[in-house]
Formats: sequence, structure tokens, C-alpha cells
Amino acid sequence: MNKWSVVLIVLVIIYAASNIAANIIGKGTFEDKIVIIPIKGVITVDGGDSGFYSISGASSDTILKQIEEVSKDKTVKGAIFEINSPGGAVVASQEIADAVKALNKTKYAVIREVGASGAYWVASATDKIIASPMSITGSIGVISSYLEFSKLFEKYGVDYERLVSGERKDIGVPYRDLTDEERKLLQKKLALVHEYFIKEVAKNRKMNEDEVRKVATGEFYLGQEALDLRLVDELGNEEKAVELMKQELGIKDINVVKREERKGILELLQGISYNIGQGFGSVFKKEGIKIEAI
Amino acid sequence: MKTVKLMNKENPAPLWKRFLAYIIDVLAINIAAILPLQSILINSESNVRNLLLRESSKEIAAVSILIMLFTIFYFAALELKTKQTLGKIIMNIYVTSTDKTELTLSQAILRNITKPFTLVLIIDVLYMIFKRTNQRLFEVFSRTQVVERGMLVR
Repeated sequence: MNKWSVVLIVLVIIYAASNIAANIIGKGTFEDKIVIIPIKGVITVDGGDSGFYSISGASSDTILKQIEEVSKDKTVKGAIFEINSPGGAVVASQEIADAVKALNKTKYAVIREVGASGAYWVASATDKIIASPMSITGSIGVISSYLEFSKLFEKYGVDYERLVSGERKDIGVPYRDLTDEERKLLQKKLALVHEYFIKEVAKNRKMNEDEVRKVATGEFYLGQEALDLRLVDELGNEEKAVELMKQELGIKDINVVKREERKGILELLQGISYNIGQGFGSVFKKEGIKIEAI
Repeated sequence: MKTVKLMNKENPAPLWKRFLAYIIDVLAINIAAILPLQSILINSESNVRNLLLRESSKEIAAVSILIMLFTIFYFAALELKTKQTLGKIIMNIYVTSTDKTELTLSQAILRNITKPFTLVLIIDVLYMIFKRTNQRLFEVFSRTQVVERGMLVR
């Protein structure tokens, strides 16, 4: 056998063994622990539309897996969701919030720089929210704005050839203005999502719906304001959250482990090539309506 | 009339070649073994805090032991099978047994046993300075040597 092949085989064996070991140890087979699950960047189902190295978005798929692992792991005594996210897609945020609510462990949320909109929805599903006095939080509202280019097209003599089967199939395309009826229809759908969002926050935070509705104007609040409005429970940081959780659990000494999505070399390379491809592909991407809780 | 003869001779590998080979090997081990495991060390910053406070953390200990084992496995397996590691292939140097026999498993392990222990490795390597054959202390113990194939003119 060629010596290069032997080197390659040995390195692959080590890499594989190391990955297996990392998974076993990463799950923390050994000691009782508090697990920190980061939720960073815009929340989407697949964590896509992220930066060049595809590491900036929060994928609900990944976070749900982490929550499931934590739920099954008997050594995990509590989970702290470290939130630094402006929110994101409604469905992805709701998926995470539902999973957090269903998690059968003590769970806190720590809002760092920002935990707004969909990310606040997730935070509200925990037992306690800790935010920095200068954190941006709240922003309970729904947005579905988009750029509309019809006037620009008109200026350059570009026409939108409308070919649809189903009257509202092209609602929200950026090539024509919305009709009043369409605008009302979209606004109605946003109101439905907003109402659902309010009800969920009220239920999660054990607040009166009207009380939440008053602050659910889409306005963001600083940590101190949020505390006064009962949108958060404590002011502080991750360390304070750990201390509070230790007190609640009645454990003085416990390991704190942060769960972070591990990226292998192949995944990093895949991320780079995907994003380069996506960069080219986005030129041809069809624009459509997107409802976000940002 | 003088006879000029070219012949193959195994010379002790120069220190700079050995040093570069070692750097290449460390990089290879870092990519293959430490990269997947580092998330545990980095992610559990608090583990480091715990380590300082509680004197021991089983997770960090497990990772350290694994890195040690992977390092020894990398050097021993490759040197046993091909007499070279990635770095040694690139620098064109290789390991031989000084007793002129094939390298055995125990020799391959013994000569590399110090690799994961920085402090012991420094002492092991310092010994090379005093040895004309450029052998580390544990190379002497394991009766092995790193050589390069040179041309000798007579």
C-alpha cells in the first residue's frame, strides 16, 4: 500500500474516532450539568440565509435536536437558552418555543444584546427570563414588508406580464402594487399571527392578554423597561442565570456545558461552496411573501 | 588514479528537517483529532472554571487522555507501517531501528511516548543537542533513529 494512503487512512481513523468521542463526551455522559443552548442570529427552520460560512443563523431544526438531547439526558438538570437574536420566521420561532415549553427540565432564558420578537417568543416559553439592563427585547409584532419595484420598472419600460391561475397567486410579488383588497387581506393575516403571538406570550408569562396587548405594539424595550413591564424577570447575565438556577435546583456545585453546533471541515467547505452558489443563485431567486416575527 | 564512488548512506536527519516534520505532524493531528474535540473544551468555558475550582473535570480529563492516545497512535502506527509520518514524508526523513532489524510495535510506541507530554518532550528533545546522532532520549531507549538517505562521495 502506498505510504500516502496509509497516512490518509490513519488520519481518517483518528478523525472518525475523535468525532465519535466528541459526540459521547459532548453529551456529557459523566456528570450532572446545566446546559447552555445558544440561539444566535435570525431564526429560521434551516438556519439558512446566513453569512459566508453559514454559521450566523439559528436553525430551529438544530435547536430542536439539542432540546431533544437535553430532554433525554438524565444528567442535565437545567437548560439556559442564551439568546442573541432579533427573531425570525414565525414557524421556526413557534417550533422552538413549543419545544422549550415542553422541555421537562428547569429552563431559563438569558437575553444578551437582543432577544426580540420571535426570539422573545422563545424566551417567554422558559421559566425565567434574565436580561441585561441594556438588552433589546420585546418587539412583539409581525412584519411582512417587502420592496416593490413596479415604479422603477415602469421608469425603464419593463412590464410585468401577469399570468396566474388563481386570482391571488401572485399576491406580494415585487413587480406590481398591491390592490386595496390584497393589502387588507395580508394585513388581516398579519393580525391573526400577531394575536396568536400575544396569546402565546400571555400564556407563557402568565400575564393578562390585555396587559400583553398594550405592550405588543412592535416596540422594543430595554432590559430595565422590560422588567418594569413584567416582560423579563431579572436583570443580569449568564453567570447570574447559572447562580439562580443553582439556587432553584438546590445544587451548589454543578458543571455548566455550552452546546454549540459543531462544524466539521467538510461542513465548513460545504457551507462556503453553498453560499457562493447561493450568492449566484439569489440573482435569479423568485421573490415572494414572507411572514416574519422580526 | 583516484576512484570516485557514489553510495547510499543513512545520515542522521538534520534538526531543522525534524523540527519542520514535527510542525507538519502537529498540524495534521490538530485537524484530525483536536478539531472535533475542541468544541468540548471551548464550549465548556465554565468547565475550565470548574476545573480550577474543583481540581478536576472528567470531561476535560477524558478529552486530554484521548488527545494523548490519538497523538501516540498517529506517530506509532505510521512509523510502524511506513517508517514515516506525514511530516517525515514531506521532509524525506524516516525512522530506522539502530539494531538493524525491522521496527517493532514496542519500539514505535516507546519512541513516541513523550510526544503528548510537553514538559517531558522538552527534556527528551534537549538530549538531542548532546548526541551526535541527533537522537532524542527516548529514541536511545527504543534503539531507533531518524535518518535521511544521503549520497557520500569517496
